[in-house]
Amino acid sequence: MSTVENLKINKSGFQLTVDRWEILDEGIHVLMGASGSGKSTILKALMGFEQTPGLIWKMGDINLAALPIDKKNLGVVFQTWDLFPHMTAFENVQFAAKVRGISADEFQTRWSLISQQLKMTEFSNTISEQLSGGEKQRTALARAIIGKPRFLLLDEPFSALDADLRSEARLMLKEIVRSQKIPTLLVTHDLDDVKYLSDKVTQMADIASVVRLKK
Amino acid sequence: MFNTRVVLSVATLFLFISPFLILLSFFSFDQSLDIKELWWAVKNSFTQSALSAVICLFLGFVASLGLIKTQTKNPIIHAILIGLCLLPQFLPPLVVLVAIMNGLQPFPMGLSGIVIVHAFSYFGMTALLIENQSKNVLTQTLQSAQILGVSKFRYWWSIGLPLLRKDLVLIFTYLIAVFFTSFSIPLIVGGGKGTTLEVLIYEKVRFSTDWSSAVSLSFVQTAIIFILSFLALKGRTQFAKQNTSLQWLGSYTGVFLIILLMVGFLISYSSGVISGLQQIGNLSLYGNELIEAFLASLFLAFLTYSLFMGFLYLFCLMGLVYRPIDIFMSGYIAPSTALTCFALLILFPGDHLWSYIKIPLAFLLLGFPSLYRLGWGEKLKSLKNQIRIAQTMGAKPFEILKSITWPQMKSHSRFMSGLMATWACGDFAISRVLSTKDFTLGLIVESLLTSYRMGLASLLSFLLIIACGFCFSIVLGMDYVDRRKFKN
Repeated sequence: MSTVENLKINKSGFQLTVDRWEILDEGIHVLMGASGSGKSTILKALMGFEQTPGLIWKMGDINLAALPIDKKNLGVVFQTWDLFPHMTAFENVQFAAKVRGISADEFQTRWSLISQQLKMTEFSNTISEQLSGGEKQRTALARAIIGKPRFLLLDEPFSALDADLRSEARLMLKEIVRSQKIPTLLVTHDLDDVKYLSDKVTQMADIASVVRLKK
Repeated sequence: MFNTRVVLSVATLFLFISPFLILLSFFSFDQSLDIKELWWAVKNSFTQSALSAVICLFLGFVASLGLIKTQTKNPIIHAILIGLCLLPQFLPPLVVLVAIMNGLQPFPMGLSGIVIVHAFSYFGMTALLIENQSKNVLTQTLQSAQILGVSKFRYWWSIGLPLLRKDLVLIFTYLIAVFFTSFSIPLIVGGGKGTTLEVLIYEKVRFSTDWSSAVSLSFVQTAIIFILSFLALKGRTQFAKQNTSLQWLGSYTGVFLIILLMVGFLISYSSGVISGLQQIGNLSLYGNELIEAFLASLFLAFLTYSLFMGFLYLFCLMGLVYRPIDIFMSGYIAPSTALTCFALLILFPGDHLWSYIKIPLAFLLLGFPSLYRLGWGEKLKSLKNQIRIAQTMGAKPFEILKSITWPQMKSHSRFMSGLMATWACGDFAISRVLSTKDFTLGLIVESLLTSYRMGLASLLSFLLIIACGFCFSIVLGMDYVDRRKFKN
């Protein structure tokens, strides 16, 4: 288990507090809550994009919260995927590997494996702007895991997909997380995500308190 | 990453408040400000800006009906009309002035002249703003109104204009702010009776060397513009856009108006150029001066382009723009054009060669905040998540800039820098303040204009169009080559 402690965020007149929360360090841990409950804010805090003095995120001996953003070695997929539109699917993934310092040989090996698992070979040379929703989602996932991240953080990655594509995408995510053995935190409000993906579920209400601050 | 962002943010902030700091550090508020003179100048500024805005809004509204009419039915005509509407914005102000002064003889110098030129220069842009906002606001109600049998006039009177009221007020306020701070047009056609606040500031420094009064006047102007901008921040109406054509609401009257005004513009400009051709022999008096001026204008454009591109590149290095910087750039109001230029006069030596530094810098200080607000800032902010993802991957700031940010900002930046360079090429107002001699085409044309040598002014303004067109086409060419390389 990795442990999150002392997370306090003041934002837009609210204070969100998580005193202590244990996240699975293998499989898929789902954080569930209604829209606007602060799930994405918690995720951004773990990434390092929110001011959270005193936050501790212990994974083994390492306090990830104390590390700068680029040193945390996280894989991230946002709701809108945010691919680099001027690059092809392959180049998006290659860029991620390059900045992580993955050697060319290792990248080729990992790329062959991941692109097969995610069925990317057909569209890998297409400019990401021109990809379909499902293809973008798979490219974003490949980009997030190519660098062997310590943790995979997913912020409602299927919400922009049609229902039939979502099922296929969930299946792919489950397979790849298991095969790559990457601990994953998935934030969602979709019950089907919980049903088909979760190894453990946490409700926002169970871990977080939200207080309106006086002006 | 944190340090780079902080350093760049502080440097940007410092750059844009430096004109204020320089002026404040040298001069203090004048206790004995001539209130009568101030009131007279403010009255003139308000009168011309309000009248210009009213006429502009009226013409713009009528013209927008033409754009709406041709929106879906005649896309080619629609595109041509948009081009005509934007023509006065893209042409150097001197060309617009020459055309109008040729067409209206005797030209009414003073407030009337200012209003005429302002209204003509901005009616097209106003039409586009109204058309765009109509698409955002009116599509939801149109089909229901048509089903009910509402007439076009009734629709506009009872539904369209009330729904657009907020936006029209916003556009009106924006126009007033633009016209209030206008410098180049009142400088030439204002005459003695039409002295605006901006021109008074210029005269205080240039002729009376009364810097204290000039600074005081500048702060009064900044305060007025701040209040106007605050009113403008009330926001735009936004409903869910539907895929409904507004064509029914449009009118060919708008099309005729646009064509009439622009054909009139072209005819009066052409007649000036033709009359200038008859005096072409007089150009020999200038000798090599014209060629030097042509080259100097191009060189100035090149320096402005380079400075802008360099600055935009560094700004992009910031990556995620700090919210205070974003708010600052969105709300920043430059001190008056004249005083920004005078701040640069203080900062740099007076030798003529320094004009090649001062003029591009003045364009940066005066132009960048507008470009930021006109969409460049939004484009950069839209890359926020991509930059965040690259950061979590471990990419360094320069890596993010080189591989992620700049490839997506380059084209937009090039266009903006090209626009600035074109304006610098055709400029006379900023150059008039910052330079000691008529070394550019714009300055020569302005001198001819103010001495009523309309024929030669028209002819040389044509040369100015060629120079500006040459600048802009180089920028477009570079972009085209870049896109082809990217495609291959």
